[in-house]
Amino acid sequence: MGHKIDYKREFRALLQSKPSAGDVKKRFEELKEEYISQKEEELAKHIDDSNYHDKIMDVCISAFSPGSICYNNLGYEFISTEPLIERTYKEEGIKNFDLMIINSEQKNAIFVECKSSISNPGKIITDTYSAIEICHKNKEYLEERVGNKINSMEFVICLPPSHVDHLVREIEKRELSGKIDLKNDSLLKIWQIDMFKEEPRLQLFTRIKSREKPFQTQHIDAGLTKILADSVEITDSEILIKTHPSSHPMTRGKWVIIEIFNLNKDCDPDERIFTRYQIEQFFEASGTISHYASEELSKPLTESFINESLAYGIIEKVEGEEDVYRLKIKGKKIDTILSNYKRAYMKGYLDRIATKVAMEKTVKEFREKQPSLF
Amino acid sequence: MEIEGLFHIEDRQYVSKEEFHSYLAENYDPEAVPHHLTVLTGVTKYDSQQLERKLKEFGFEIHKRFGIVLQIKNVFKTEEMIEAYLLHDEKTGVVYIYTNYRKTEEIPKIQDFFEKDKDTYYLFIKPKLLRRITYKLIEEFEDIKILDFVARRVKDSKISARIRPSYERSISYWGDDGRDTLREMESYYGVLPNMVTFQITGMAKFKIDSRGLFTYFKGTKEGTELFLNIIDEVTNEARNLLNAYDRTRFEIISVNTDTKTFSIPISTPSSIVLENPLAYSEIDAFEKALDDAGYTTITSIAAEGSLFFSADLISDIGNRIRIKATKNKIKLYPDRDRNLHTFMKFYKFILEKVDSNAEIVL
Repeated sequence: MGHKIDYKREFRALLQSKPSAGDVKKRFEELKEEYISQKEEELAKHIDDSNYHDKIMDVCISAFSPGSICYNNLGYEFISTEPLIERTYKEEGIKNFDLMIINSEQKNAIFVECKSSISNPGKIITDTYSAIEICHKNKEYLEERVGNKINSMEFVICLPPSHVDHLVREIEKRELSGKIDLKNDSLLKIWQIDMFKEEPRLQLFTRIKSREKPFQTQHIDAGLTKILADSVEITDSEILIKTHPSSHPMTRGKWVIIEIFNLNKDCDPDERIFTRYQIEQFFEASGTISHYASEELSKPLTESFINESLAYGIIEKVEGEEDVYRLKIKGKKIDTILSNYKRAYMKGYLDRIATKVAMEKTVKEFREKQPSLF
Repeated sequence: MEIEGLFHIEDRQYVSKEEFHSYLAENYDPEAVPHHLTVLTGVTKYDSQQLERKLKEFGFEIHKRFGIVLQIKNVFKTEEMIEAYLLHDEKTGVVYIYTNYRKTEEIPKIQDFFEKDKDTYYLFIKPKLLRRITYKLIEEFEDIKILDFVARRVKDSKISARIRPSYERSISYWGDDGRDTLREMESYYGVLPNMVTFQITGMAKFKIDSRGLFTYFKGTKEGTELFLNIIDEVTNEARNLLNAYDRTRFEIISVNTDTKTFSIPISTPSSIVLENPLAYSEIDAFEKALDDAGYTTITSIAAEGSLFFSADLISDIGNRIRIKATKNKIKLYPDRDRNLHTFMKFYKFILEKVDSNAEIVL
């Protein structure tokens, strides 16, 4: 087992080597450019996918919001996004679901994982079952946080109809082979969500061949099963929050930028100042995220924004002050600022990774070509 | 004391729009007045007291009251002044402003008031309605002439056009044969009228502008009555629009578990039904049009198959909204700064840039 190479240190050392320093730098810049141009599109797509996932969450939440059939007629209430995510900052290995729905009378909790695409069904299933275990382990904690006894828990993957088959086939394979125990009383359920209809629809998918008994694909609550099996039209009204704890940091950051802009509306555009506390307040406010631990989450979410923004030159510390920052993004109007923010974020993000990758590659190349330098 | 310039009305306490319009039909004499009459129409969510306050904030003075008719005056620069009568019909939410002031640069200042305030908007006339009024007049008055018109076509409009249908266009025509020309332009170029000047010999000459502006050049009592009836036909639409607006909501709803309460922000949208379906391939152009119209996109996603589009935007007046589109419907979700301006402006935007025959769902 070899020792781990500190490429940064090696790279710096290379730069000191007088005759080749110029070549090293040139090659480093080349490799960096190459990496950035390859990854730019990938990053943009990744952000898009993340935003699409957020939308599926929003639409699914709406099916359990005041005004919806599931809420009004059956008492299933959307309570929080990302249950247990607040624990992932302190503990390793916690995987969490996207949404938590409670029927406070029946003391039934439904955990939903939304998926916008299925590229690796096996991994999704494995990860989701891990998350199920974690939910069970944290049942009392959750009861305390949401203020309701939980007598039963159900777990759902919610996805567009076009992807259902792909996932279900893998589930069937694993259940038929015994990899997933059919006697497990937390068998994954499937909802399909059709967002292309004028009024989106949510439906319980029951044609899972490996499951012979209806209760294996149905909900504990027969009323809920009936409504969802027939496909329920999702209410016109929609929950209108700003972002989710698991939204892409750039997308989440846009809302923070807007908040900073609003806090400094009548100020000098070069002196848009804000404090860490103000951003924490922003994340805690109802309407920003919808989470039972929004107060707690406001801290890591703010920390993440500040750290990344400092690293990418989007904000800077105000000298002599603790936790006070200045926005470095220029622009008089919000549309200019947002577009400059996006550019700075993407550049900063790619630059940071590209630097690391290019350093490593440069060192490796020069090791091979000019071992005498080492 | 009569203010020079503004047409004279009898000093009485008018109690309703109907009464005032009856009075005008009977007494307004275009010959006795220095310049033609312009009526501007708008809608508002304010009650009369709030409206008066807003007018004062905008720079209008209330010079005199005639019951529900106010004589208002605004000095923009030392030499430029506009005076008008204002009537706010609280029953319908419609605001009428009547003026015969010469300088037509001043009239846009009144439109400014309608447009800048967040709970008022000018009562634009949707293309379908203006077209309907035009052809109804043509049917009713055999000898009616169209003296000039402006007609427009939205980009990629699916209204049939024999010549280059993919082009966005505006046609401005002046000529006594306007009536025939309008029909021809509609047929060849797929345009819809936006502004039309009519002349009914011996009865009236007037102009209708889709920005909710009506101009009365000359006419008899019968003509004045016709003119005011046309305004009524347009302002009746206002009721539908305001009803649709009233059904939109933003509320923070308390959701309770056994021992805790959670606040869930819920938005209830207005819906616009499209006559021409929106396709995934048109989304880029749609987003650009939104941008050009002053909306700032925060996030947007579009998926194909048929179409799912959702965007969080900041409106031209700085409030956040969400829009969602599927191929036949566009929904507008208000945030906590729900206001009439955003609702009206968005509908107007759709009519002008996406589908001239789009309808607000009631």
